[in-house]
Amino acid sequence: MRPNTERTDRVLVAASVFSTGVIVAAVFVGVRSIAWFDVLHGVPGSVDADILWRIRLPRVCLGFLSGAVLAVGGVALQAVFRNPLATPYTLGISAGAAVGAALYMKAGLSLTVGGIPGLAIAAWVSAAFATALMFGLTRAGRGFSTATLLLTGVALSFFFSSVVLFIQYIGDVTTSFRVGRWLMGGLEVVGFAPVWQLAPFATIGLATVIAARRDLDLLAMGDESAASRGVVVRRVKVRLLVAVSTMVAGVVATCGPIGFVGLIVPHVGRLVVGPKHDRLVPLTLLGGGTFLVLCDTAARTVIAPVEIPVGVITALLGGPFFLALLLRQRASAERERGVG
Amino acid sequence: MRLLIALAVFLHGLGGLDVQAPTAGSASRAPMRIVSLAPSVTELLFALGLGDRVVGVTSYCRYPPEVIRIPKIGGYLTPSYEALASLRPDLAILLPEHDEVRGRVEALGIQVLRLDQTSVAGILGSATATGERCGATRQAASLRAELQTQLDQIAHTIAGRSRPRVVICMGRNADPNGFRSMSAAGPGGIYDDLIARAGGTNAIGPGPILHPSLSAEALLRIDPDAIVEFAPGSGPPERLQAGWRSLSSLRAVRTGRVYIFTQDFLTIPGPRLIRFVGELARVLHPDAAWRHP
Repeated sequence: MRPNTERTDRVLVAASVFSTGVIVAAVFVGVRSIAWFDVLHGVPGSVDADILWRIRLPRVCLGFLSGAVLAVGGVALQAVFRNPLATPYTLGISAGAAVGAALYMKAGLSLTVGGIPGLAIAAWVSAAFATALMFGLTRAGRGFSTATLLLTGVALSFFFSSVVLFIQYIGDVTTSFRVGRWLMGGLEVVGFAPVWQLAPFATIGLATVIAARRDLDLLAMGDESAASRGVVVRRVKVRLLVAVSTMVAGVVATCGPIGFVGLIVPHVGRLVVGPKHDRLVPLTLLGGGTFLVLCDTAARTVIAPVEIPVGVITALLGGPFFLALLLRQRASAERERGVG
Repeated sequence: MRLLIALAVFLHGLGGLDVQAPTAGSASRAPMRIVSLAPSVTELLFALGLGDRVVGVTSYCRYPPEVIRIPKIGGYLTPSYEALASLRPDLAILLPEHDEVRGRVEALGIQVLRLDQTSVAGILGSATATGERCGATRQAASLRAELQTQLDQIAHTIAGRSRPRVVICMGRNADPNGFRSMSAAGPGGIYDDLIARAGGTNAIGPGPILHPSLSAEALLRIDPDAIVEFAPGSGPPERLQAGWRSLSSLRAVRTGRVYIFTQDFLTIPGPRLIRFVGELARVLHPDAAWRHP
């Protein structure tokens, strides 16, 4: 047992070092090469200082925070649903947010409330509404069983997606294009305001999942077995689902839906440190944040100054990586079996 | 204040530009480093003779040919803010659909001019607004007068004539066996405006959908007098014509009134699109007394 713990400790330390390296490197990379002398000596009116402090740094921070939220949300939901295909969007959050965003764009509105863009507010409100609707339907149905939750979430997602398609269809070309672009996700920001808006949701949500990491181990074994070991299953589930959906709604409202991170990063984490959540949750947090920062750095530099939507990059880069890891794992498992 | 007026007069003499005397408290210094966030804006800026002040354009901006050498700031709705800031612009010109973009551009401390180019009147108005903001009122007035005169001449030539019912096809889904479906220009958009100004009526009646999709059956039921297909950047129009022949019971196909245009500016609501009204009017009213060949 002990050597295994030591190994996972080493993995966590290595992941922290790697994350820090990626974050620092991401700030150095961009369309324009920064004149560091001007920035460090505070030369007034320096465009480079503006680019560094108001464009790159907030973008990297938002990327790390969003990636961490999506990945940790994925870990929590996969344990709660005991389903490896559960993602932060399984509850209909992303499709729900998309309805609000699409309606806002179709209406041609342009509002800002307390410094928060109207689009983000519309997306958040409709994501919250979608999630509440999902919980309401589940309660009205057959209690709080995971199968009912999962099916309700999937059915609502399809319903909301159709609403978005309808809005795109009746809208003009520009509305369709804007909605389509929003659905691909993006981390473009100027200034730290979006980071501060997301931070409270992210902090509360991440803290709730981290605090419940031992309960997640038990929930992953099944409701009955968790209950037999003293977990108040229903209360823990509701608390986790509310925390996860709130923080994920925050991410979707700020960056649009960014797929794949919440599905794959937890699985890579399991392949590396195993299923125990006290190691898996911190590793996924670091891994999700780092992965999204990496993807976004590629998104904004590969064909610069044209940017590729980050939601496109996540699956494009992450898919082959994950498949390779999966194949290697299986090959080594077979080798061990052959030797044994 | 006097110094500012003196400077304005000096600039006026220097560049032959319409620099207006600044009014107290307003930021009326003519912008010298302009970034355009849409192909139609770029086209307008060059048409107003402001091309030498354009320091950044989108990767979609291809006209006039001079824009090829101007630094690109990324996509039309998806600019790179880093590329934008590094050009140090003093004005960014954008459209209503740039709502999210606008907030971020303003957060970078860059002044913004928002133009509405969703109608012919909007394009004309945007010429005036740009001219006023950029100190090129004279050029704007002359461009506007030129375009307005063309529109007036067209209106005069087709006055009193019966207006053919037109369907504008903006995209068509066809396979080797022929027509499958098409996307039409519904009422309310700029193409609706073009049809009206060229002396036609949009055969697509009022409805909530701006670009309804029409099946062969729907098109046969509407049975327009003429079909105008916009296929920017497509191959030779003859090949596209062949695709319509499978709908030989359509009046427009039978009478040879399917007109195909492949110019790339058909999706760019700039001055060239207004000049195109004349071309459209000539095919819709071939026997009117057109003055120029």
